[in-house]
Amino acid sequence: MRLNKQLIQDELLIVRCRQGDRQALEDLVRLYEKRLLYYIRRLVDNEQDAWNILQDTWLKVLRAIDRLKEPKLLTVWLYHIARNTIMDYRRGKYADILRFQQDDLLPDIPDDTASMSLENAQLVHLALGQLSPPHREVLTLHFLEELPLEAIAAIINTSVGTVKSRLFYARQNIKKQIEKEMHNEK
Amino acid sequence: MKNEKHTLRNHLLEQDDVNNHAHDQYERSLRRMIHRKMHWIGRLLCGLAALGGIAFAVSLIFELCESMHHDVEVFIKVGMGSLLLCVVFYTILIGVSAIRGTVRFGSVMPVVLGGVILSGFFICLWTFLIFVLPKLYELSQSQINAPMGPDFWIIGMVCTFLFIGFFGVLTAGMTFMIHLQYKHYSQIQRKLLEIELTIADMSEKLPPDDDESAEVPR
Repeated sequence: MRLNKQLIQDELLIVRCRQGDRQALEDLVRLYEKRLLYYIRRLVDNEQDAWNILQDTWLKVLRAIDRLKEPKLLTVWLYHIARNTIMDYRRGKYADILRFQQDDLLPDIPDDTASMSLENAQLVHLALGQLSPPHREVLTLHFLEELPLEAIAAIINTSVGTVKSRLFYARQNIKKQIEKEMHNEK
Repeated sequence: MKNEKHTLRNHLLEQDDVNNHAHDQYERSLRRMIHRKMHWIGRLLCGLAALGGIAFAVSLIFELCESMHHDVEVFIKVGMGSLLLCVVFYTILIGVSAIRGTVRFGSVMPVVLGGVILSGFFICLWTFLIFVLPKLYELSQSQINAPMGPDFWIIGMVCTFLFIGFFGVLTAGMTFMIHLQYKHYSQIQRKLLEIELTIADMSEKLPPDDDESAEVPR
């Protein structure tokens, strides 16, 4: 029910944006900018670059909002545009880093990082920075949006199996990082 | 679980330090992007076109009120009446664009091009109604009083018809496109109303929600 309400509110925002309602555009920006910035900053080292990429992302979104047919895909669409903008911005550098080898398919793994990291947001944040960019990317999307594997795969232009695999190793790595951090604190 | 994730998200979003200067720069650019207006030259052109439209409409009203003492007066008046309606409609559209600095349908260049086409159409139609049609009628009644000879007026009629046909086809196309845009606009309005009703209905059924990220201010 909660999700439905969010979907309907997203749809309302998109319809208002298509009408040229500037307030709706601002609402859309305010609703997603922090999350998009967090995601972009996990993939881009320089903060100024991250702000520029976010700005370019919004420019593309404003130009293409009429072409978004499915409001339920708004989140996926926004992250996809942000990712493409990162790729355009740092073509070569990040493209190479984010282009990952095909991982082995893995069975479903229980998500034990969410409850563990809840009390340790700061540790999770620091540990994310220690991961490789592809692992950091999927885990950021997972933590920020709780997107299904298919949606993450659509954002990063890869297969569901690869996402599952990356998520598995990313969870393992972040757990190790957090334990190491906690051990160091003691 | 969902709430826990959202809490984690909110905690994570607070972790990044933000450079105020970069943030201010971004805010300024974003504001300019969202509230972008037409270039002042475009607004000036639209304003001038709207003023021209107003002057044209006023002159049409005066001509409509004047008696022509002519047998084809009814045809001329009906033609001028329809022309007046078109002029008022397009003058309002372009005048609003000039005042608000935004173009409701389409971008600036098609609007300027459309304005030129419409002006051509209106001027040709007006010329035909005021000069050519009465004179042709006079000629058909008596060919003696034609000051410049009947051939001149027949050539004039053919040329005016060609112009009217040319601009008329373009204007009809533009009017059809505006009709489609309005149709699309009204569909969006209806959809908006449906969504708002659904949200109102859901809000009545659901208990108050404290998740700020889900709220969309209206």
